[in-house]
Amino acid sequence: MVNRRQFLTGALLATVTVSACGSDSDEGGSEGRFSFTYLRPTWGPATYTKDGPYERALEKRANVDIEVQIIPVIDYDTKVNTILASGDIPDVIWGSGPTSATWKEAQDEGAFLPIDEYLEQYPAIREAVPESIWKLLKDENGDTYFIPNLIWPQVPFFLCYREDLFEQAGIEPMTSLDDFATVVSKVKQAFPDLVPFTMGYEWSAKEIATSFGVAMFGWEPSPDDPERLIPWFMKEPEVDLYFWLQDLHKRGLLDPDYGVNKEPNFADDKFKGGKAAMVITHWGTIAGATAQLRTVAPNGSIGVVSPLGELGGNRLVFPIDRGFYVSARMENPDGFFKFLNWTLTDGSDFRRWGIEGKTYRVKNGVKQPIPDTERDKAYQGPQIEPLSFLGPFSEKLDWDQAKLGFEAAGIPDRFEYVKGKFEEYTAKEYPDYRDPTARSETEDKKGTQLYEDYLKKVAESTISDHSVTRDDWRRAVEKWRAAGGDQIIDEVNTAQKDKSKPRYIPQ
Amino acid sequence: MTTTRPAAGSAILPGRQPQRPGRFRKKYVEIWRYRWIYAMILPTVIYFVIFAYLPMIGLQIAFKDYKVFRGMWESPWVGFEHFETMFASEKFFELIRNTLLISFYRILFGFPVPIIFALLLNEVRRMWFKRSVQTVTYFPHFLSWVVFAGIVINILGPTGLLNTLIVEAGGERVNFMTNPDLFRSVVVVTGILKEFGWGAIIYLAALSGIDPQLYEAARVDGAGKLRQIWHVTLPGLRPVMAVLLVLSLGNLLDAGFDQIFQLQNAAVLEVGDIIDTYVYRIGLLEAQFELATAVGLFKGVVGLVMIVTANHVLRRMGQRSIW
Amino acid sequence: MAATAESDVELVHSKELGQRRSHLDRNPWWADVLIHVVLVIAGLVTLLPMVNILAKSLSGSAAISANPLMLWPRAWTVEAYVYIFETPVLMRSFGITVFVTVVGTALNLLFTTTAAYGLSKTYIPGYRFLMWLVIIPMLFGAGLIPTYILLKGLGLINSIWVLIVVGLVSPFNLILMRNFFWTLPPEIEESARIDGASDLQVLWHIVLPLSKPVIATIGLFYGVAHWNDFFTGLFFITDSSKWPLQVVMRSIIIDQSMLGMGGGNAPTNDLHRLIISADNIRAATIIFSIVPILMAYPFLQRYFVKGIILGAVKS
Repeated sequence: MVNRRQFLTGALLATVTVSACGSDSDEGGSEGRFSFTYLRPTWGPATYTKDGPYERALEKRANVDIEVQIIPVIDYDTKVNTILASGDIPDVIWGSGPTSATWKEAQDEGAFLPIDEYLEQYPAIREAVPESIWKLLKDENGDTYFIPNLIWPQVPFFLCYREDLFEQAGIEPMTSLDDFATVVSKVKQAFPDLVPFTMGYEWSAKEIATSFGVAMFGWEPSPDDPERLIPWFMKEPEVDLYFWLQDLHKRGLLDPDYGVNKEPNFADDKFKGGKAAMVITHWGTIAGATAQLRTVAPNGSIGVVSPLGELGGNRLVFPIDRGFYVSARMENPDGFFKFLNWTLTDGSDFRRWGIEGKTYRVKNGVKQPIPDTERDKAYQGPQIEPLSFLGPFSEKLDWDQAKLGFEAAGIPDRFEYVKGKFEEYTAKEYPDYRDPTARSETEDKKGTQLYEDYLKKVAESTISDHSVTRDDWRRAVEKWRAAGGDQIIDEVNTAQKDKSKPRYIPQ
Repeated sequence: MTTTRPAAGSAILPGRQPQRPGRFRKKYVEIWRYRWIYAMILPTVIYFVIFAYLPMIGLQIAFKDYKVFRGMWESPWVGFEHFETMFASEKFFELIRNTLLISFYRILFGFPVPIIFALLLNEVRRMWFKRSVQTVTYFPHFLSWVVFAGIVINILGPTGLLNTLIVEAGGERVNFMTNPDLFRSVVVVTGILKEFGWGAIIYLAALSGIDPQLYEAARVDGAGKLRQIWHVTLPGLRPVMAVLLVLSLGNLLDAGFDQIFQLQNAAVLEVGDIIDTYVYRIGLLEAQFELATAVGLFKGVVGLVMIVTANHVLRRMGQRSIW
Repeated sequence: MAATAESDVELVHSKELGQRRSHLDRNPWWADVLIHVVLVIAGLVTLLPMVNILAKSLSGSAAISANPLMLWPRAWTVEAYVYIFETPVLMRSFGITVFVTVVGTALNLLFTTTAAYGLSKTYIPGYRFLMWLVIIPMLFGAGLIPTYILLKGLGLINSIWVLIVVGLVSPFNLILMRNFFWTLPPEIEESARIDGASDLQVLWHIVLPLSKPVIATIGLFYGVAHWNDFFTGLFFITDSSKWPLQVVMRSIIIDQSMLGMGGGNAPTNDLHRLIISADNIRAATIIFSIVPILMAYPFLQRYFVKGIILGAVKS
């Protein structure tokens, strides 16, 4: 009896909470405005609140009404496929674009709107994306459907070391692959309690790979035939890299947690927590990492090792990470393109900076974004990210922003040092030669399975499983080629006519 | 003729007529008699028909080349292609073996633990102690494997707590997570640790239903503690044990995706990769719903065979079966 | 009035409990010690992960990366909890989860109990057919897309009710409950029927009061399943203001910053990609999402510890 009463009270309370919450979301809609639905992934916490002050400010300025739906990026692909399948396509929808077989298929089947005429009409949109990328995105009939989310292709992963510790022990950082192991051994001897060198994934070694002369995980011209591209696991120098890392691991010079710990940032965490002497990490994290390191090691200082050897440089990344389509069934696409154009012209300042005093402040006549942690909650990243659209390529590498990061971390003097290292790394470019829109039918159909069945073992366990030999690697590749791999290579080389070195950054 | 006709007619009629409507009537009467019983089952039947059976039309995509935008009905048939993808894979034997072995170990070692735990709890007389232990042991059930696996790796990993202790004591580092010989044990043991408290709940409920008079009777017969457990407690738990065992056999090809996905690494794939993790990597990540559906069907059929067999065995053993 | 009825029942139970205790043999002292030691170890093993998360939730994030296995907070701070209580979406999704858990579990129990009781009568015509109807969905799932299309057709996409409707009856729980009904002594029901009680009356007045432990157990199973369910909310609700707690929580505790194109690691220079939830916020979110459901257990626990059959026979 008592239970039932308590239960009912609980249920009642809950209903009240829910309905109270439901009512406040209706007031945002205003009549007469152009409105559209927008589905996109979010990388941060999915704590977006509908019709917050930032959203209202944006909608008022742009005179639109955006109905935003977000999906945490980890589940985006799975969920969006159900949405596509149900025919319930929002007006504007994020996707992987024509580089993915599924999206290309939906595009070919007429799910999305061809946008060339709007690009003509609204040149600001066209100009935000480099011409070479628009060219890449055109389909067989010369039509464009996809508006890419651009990323700056230079994202070097720095080989970082604890300057203070190296100095203390009188160790000089390495300069080439040859003295790499020697230096790490010295560190290990001098600081037996620390992990001498750590990194998170194979991909972390992408800049080390350049010292072997390869663009990691990229297709590159075969040494015997420059007109034939071959995949990464067939490039001898890249296999060398794997066994070089295996050797480091075997000698206890590479973190034993490598390949086991699933926490994406475990390597960074160790370094920031003062438990590792060297790490490979995203160049943009250095300011924050220094600040954190100093909470455990007050004199901690992070140095960056210059690219190793003659060949060392930067493995470029493909400048597109997803993007969006406009639904073929959208009633008034012009309204959307008008809005998008606004965000790149009159609304450009608002898009980039937001609201004064809330998301940026003006210091000495210069606009400065307010760091997320200092903002009012309603203006933090999770509230703004869902409402972002197209950022022009030219804004993707923002040194002013980066500088602020160093100032916030209390090490403004380190900014020039890090910028200098960035330039050292990016002096030599190692892009993937493969045009990701060049499709191979065999690859679309069973590419993943062929990789899983034949290559995964060597590709992913060589470093931490010391029993894997070069012979195993060779045999795995042979099996892969026989089972359909050769066909994939042929198809890719047929589909991709232009086999020259790609250039992403307009000169 | 005129006389034989009715005679012939009557020869047939009297025999059949009362019988035919009688059978029908009897059934009808019986159904009518249990009308309230049926009425109680009906909502659930309707629920299953709408929410479980209706969407099963979608299982056809296991035999189709599913075109996302064109939809289920418009997509072309491809026969057993997706089943071949699975069965023809070089890894198929390995995957089946790993899945079955891990499931089997889970049942062999994991099934008795909650029972033993419930029996031990049942022996405790201090109520506060009993309740606290019971509450605390069910905590980990609420941690997702993402979180729990992180803790496991922090303890068992190469630089984890255990290895730090081993190294400090002058020992050699043990590769709990990357050693193929140990991986399945790690999976089974951590799985048990996370779920035994939760699993014991159903047995505790069953224990509370055992008639105390039975213990008294056993005591009068001179049965000692262990004999009482053997002759009263365990038989009291047997129906629950039987049904849980049969149902877990139906899930034999689910070896615990979330856990294994979080704990596995490339070094232990040969012993630790299961059907679900493989299908996830080649199927769902690439939006190949067809393959996932085909494998789901396969697993369902295997589960069906297992359940029918187990139920048959149950019946032969004189236990009440599931249907 | 309700209170009196409750205390009456309490009285009967405690008497029986005392009686029952005297009938159980005591263990020798060494066995008693052994049992306690084993249980203390079991308790510690399961408690420590929780203590670890609790300690992290109250620590500064820099201290966490240095001591991932801490059992006591370092650089003590409650900023993570302040963050949670200042995040409107978390509070709202919490309300939704509570609603779904309470109302959902009630409906689950209504459907499951009635059907399980009905199916405990193996003599009804068509019994086996009905059982198979229940078992098949346990083995064959229909898959995401057809379910989505069905729910869309029913207008349930984007409705909170979808969180209740999906999984309304679990075949597993139904079978468990049905088996418990089997263990009830048939004489009680028969005598009630002789007195002229209908099936519904028997279920309500005789069977249900006798089945409190199993109802509490199955209710707990359903309630916890609702509480932990992120899948339904994520896939069938596109309006993020209607998401249950677990969907929001998952996006906070799982670090997605590395997820670039096609599941690979395409790093970017965009700062928002580099912002991830601090470790203490992740830990506090876990605590925030677990503690309420943990508190339900001691409340239900009393139903597991009491003997009931004896009382039933007496009444």
